[in-house]
Amino acid sequence: MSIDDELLMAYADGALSPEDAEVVEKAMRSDPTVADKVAAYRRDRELLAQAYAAPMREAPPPHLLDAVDAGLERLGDGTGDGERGGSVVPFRSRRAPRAPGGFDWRLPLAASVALIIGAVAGRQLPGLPNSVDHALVRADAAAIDPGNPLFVALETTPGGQPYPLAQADREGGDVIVPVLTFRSRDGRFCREFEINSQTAVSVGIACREPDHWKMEILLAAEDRPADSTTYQAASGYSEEALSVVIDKLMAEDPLGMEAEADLIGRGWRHVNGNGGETSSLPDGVETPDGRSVRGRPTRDAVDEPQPPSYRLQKIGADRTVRQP
Amino acid sequence: MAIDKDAIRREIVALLPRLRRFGYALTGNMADGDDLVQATVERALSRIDQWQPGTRLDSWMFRIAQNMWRDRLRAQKVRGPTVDPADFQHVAGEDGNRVVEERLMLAKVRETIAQLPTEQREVVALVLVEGQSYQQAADMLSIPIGTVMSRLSRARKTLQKALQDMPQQRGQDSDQDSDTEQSEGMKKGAWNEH
Repeated sequence: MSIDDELLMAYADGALSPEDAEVVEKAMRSDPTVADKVAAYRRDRELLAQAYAAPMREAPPPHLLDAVDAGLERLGDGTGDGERGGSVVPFRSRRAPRAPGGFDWRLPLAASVALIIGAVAGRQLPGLPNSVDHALVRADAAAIDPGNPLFVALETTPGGQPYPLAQADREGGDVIVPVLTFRSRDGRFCREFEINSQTAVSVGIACREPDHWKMEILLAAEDRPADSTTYQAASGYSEEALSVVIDKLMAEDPLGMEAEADLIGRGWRHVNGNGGETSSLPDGVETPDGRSVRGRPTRDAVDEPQPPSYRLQKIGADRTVRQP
Repeated sequence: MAIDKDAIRREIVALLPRLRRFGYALTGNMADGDDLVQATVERALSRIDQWQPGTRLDSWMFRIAQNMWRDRLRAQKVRGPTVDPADFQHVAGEDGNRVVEERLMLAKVRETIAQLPTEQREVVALVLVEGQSYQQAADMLSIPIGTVMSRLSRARKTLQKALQDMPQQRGQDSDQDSDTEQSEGMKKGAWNEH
């Protein structure tokens, strides 16, 4: 099979069969120009995702909501009461499985979990799981590359804010939420994040390497019961595993929002780019102000086996969209 | 068949951010994108009886948005999307060269995409912005998957070239540099022709 640019593009877009992907990977190993081309396609993808992301980060403007209501009004009487005030849905029912005719929520869930598991374990996990009950996945070499939605989420999303996964970002759809940002003992910037789906919350930690994020740990939590409004906590074992990893990694208190925003703006680069010790850190990060934890979880809060969704509300009370 | 208005309202409202993103990518600026979304919502609701419950509302509405955009292009013979002035206002208000650099790059991406031929822009919006698979895009546009790939590939060549040609500013930039950069970006923007 010859390697043409469209094939490389399809590889970068994750559109190839495993067999074709292997051909490309082989070519990438033997020919740096092939690897460069793949990297360029991945970069496109990332840039495009960012370039038009603004509407995903804000509430729709009122005139569009009005257009929806006006359009529904014109339909005449349906079975619903049609009134906005009357359509308050109890949190509980949003968690319930959809009636036939609704969307299949399980699909995006499986896809996002598969995405992450895939990122961690590569091909070592045959048959991506439908259920990920208590799976504790660790892989020291797992690189999250720019083509990966998780990369974009970690790279660009402030703590407490949801980054919607493509095609699953309708209300209650799957989102990646960075929870807190800290500096590791070896000078890297790391982020704890959650992947929230309708039925499960997965928690992970990734650290920024020069050109990718490296997954340090990923806990794929069990499904939460459909009729439950609360997060089904991962097993004590999993929570403990997370704490151990955080303990091992974290050099100091989590960074404040300003320092975090600064890092996002800078593309997570150290000022002189060597990812080294304190001396290479940009000014803003080390200031007492930047390090303050205003409203953010302290080290203790992380240790407690609290449900991530609870933490999320605490952290992002002023800006999260999660409003149970 | 009775319509569950509440359910439809919820689903459409939840879909608005994605529709707005799609409209933004197709039209090249947020205001025009929102106009398209509004027209799409109105059209969809006026024909909601044509939507078959049980099928995906999002695919159906994206298809409507796509069609309306094409109709509009035909009707108005618009010469092409304009670049959003907000791109540059944001740059002006930001501190830090990295942020400026990043914003400029994303503005450049939007500017380049806005100037692509319509057929290429549609594929970019569906696959790279909205995140559809090649096959889904092929289905929506009623073209072979090979055509999706060749259009996408051409669009990305153009984009890569445009970004390569951008003046690099890394490391020790001064405020002066970023000012220069900014005004250059503004010169290129179509909006100041208004």
